[in-house]
Amino acid sequence: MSSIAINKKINDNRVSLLKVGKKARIVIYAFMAICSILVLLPLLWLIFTSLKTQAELTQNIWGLPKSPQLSNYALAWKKGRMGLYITNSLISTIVTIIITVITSTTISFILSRFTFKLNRTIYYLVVIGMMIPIHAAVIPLYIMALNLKLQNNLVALGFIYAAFRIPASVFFLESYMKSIPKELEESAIIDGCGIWKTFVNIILPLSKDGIITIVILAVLACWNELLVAMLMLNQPFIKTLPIGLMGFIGEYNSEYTQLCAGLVIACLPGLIFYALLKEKIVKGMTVGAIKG
Amino acid sequence: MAKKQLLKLLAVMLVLVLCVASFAACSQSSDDQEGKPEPAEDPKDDGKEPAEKPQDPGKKLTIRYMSPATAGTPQAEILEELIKEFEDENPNITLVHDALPSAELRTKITVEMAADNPPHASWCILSYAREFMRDDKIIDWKTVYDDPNHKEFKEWFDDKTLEFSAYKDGRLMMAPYEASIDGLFYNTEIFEKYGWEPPKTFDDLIDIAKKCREQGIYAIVTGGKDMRFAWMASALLVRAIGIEKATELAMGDAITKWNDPEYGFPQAMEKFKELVDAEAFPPGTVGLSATEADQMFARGEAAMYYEGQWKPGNFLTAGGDDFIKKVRRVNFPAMTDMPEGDPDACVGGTIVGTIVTSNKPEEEIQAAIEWVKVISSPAYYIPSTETGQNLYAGKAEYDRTKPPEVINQLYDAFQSAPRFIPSMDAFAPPAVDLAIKKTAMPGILSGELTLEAAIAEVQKAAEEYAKTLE
Repeated sequence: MSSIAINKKINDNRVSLLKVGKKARIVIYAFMAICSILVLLPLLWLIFTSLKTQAELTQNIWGLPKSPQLSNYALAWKKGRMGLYITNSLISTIVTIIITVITSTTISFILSRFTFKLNRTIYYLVVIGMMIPIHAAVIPLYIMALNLKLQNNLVALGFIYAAFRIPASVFFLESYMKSIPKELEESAIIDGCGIWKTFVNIILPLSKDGIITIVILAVLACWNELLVAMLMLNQPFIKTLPIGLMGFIGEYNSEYTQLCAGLVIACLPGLIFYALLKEKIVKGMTVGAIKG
Repeated sequence: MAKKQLLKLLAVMLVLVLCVASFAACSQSSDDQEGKPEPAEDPKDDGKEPAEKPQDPGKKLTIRYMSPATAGTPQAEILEELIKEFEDENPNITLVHDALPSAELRTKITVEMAADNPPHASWCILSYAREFMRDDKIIDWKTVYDDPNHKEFKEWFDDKTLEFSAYKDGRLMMAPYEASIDGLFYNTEIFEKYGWEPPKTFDDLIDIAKKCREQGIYAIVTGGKDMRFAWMASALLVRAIGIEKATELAMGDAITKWNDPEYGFPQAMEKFKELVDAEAFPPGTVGLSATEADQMFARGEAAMYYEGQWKPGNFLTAGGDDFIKKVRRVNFPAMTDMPEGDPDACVGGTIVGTIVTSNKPEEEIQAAIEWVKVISSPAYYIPSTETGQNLYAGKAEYDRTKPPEVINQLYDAFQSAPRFIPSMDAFAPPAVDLAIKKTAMPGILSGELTLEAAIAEVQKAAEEYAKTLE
């Protein structure tokens, strides 16, 4: 389904919502308000906790902080090396995005637009990777990284994450690209485009929403990943954000107020990412939801 | 057509090359093995002289040390300073500190041991060290203690502490790290307010549980979500059947007798059920994190808290200075109706320590031992004791006016304890420990499992573990 059709459908829904009666609208808004509170409450609690002292947290778990402790943020930033770990996470995430997008788009293009004997075999071979949980592969992955001397390497970590993102991305993009009308491609060929030009100038721009969806999924997966990062990275200055956040949970004592401050800081790149790409993200997600 | 065929051929070749490369990287070829350093041999077997300090002072060595002293903890700051001093004193050694919370550390070291690439030295718990020693992955500390180059270990620790980690064949698995001892911590303010005495017997404990309910509070709180039942499981077991039979059950020939009353576990669980039936624990304990439990104790919603010597540090965090001054410790109560039980043994001992892996070159092993000496020294642990965070296992004295009184009580209890039984997570095989603290005790607590079903779950885990030994 093209993006014009989707926008039309969304507008139709908006119109139909306006037609409902006043009572029904009150019920809808009340329901939506409850949903918003449910979503916002944990976030607010996180912010309030990040501004309390440990003793205040014990005595007053749910209330507002009496005197906001901004020092929790300073301590989390300094002690938890948040700046460094955010940069490290960004590096591995960007590598993951680049590798995932390049490989998934090219594989999906070939599999969706060309007919050849092993097409389906290769497709299933790639997507079967979705069935391998990362936990089942940690020991062979670790040995591979060790033998190839790829430990303590954020770029290599990005490659590993990408390897686990490719199957799902190909699964999504291949069906997305299949839905692009063949006539567009044929017109391009008549106009003198080769395979490469058709891919770059026709297929890729039309798949933009789908690509954004796989980018979002890749970001979500590797920004929060702990197990592989923990195994592949040993050096204290080459660790990613989730490992850094775990640092606030000690063997015997946990700094929960500083952990919450760290979590608020960790949320910021995601919020900025969302603020910058809000429209495209929503479009990308809805394309995935109602593609036909 | 020819161009298309060529492309197909290239694609097939590319796939083949990728497959071969992947398999080559996955497999541990014999060449790789040859390239790796030989495991260090036991000097007692080959009659070599005791090893000297790092042999080639000019050679650069990198030692990796794994510990749970993560960046935000007070221990991490002390450790960072010690690392700096160690590197200044040994300019040819670079020490990489890989800090992870203990649960993640256990996962990582297990994977690294399996992949034959463990750190040079690591924090470790007794039950994991036993598995590594069984597979000859770690060094025998006996030879180190007998080495005049490392005489400090005998100066700092007595023989009982040094030999805490004896493997069944007499080898020693770990160097001492910290002192572990249990405590039934109680809030003196609550006890004084109602005129109660700390419980001496299990019947007293049940009685206090009932009195607590009358006052609208609970007797004991614990972090069920974090599976904090390992210490209570050991306490109940040793009070029910004594150390010898408990040891036989957890580590000896009776490993598959968890449902046999002769080895005490059914009675221990029966006592636990008595506590549950007396409403000693607050509802929803299974879902409480350890921090939430600490907070409940600090708010006076529970009168007692049972676990290990690190808890005062948590109570200080949760309740501040005023609260920690009110906390005192007693032994877990005796069971008067259990004639075979040991009323005086404490849970703890030296159940965590530092392992050094054996598959490294000799000079790296020696450098790792030198580092372990630093973290076993009073310089590392005394500050932790004085700030009320933890206890030193060695003989060095500390300033008793600095920590809260409950730390002094714990230290005295550790020094005077007649016998120790390790906590279940350091004692029983990991699978059995998990069955106890993840399934059996939470099951009884939540009412999801009957007593018999809970014991059967543990028995099943033990039988499955025993099969792996065959």
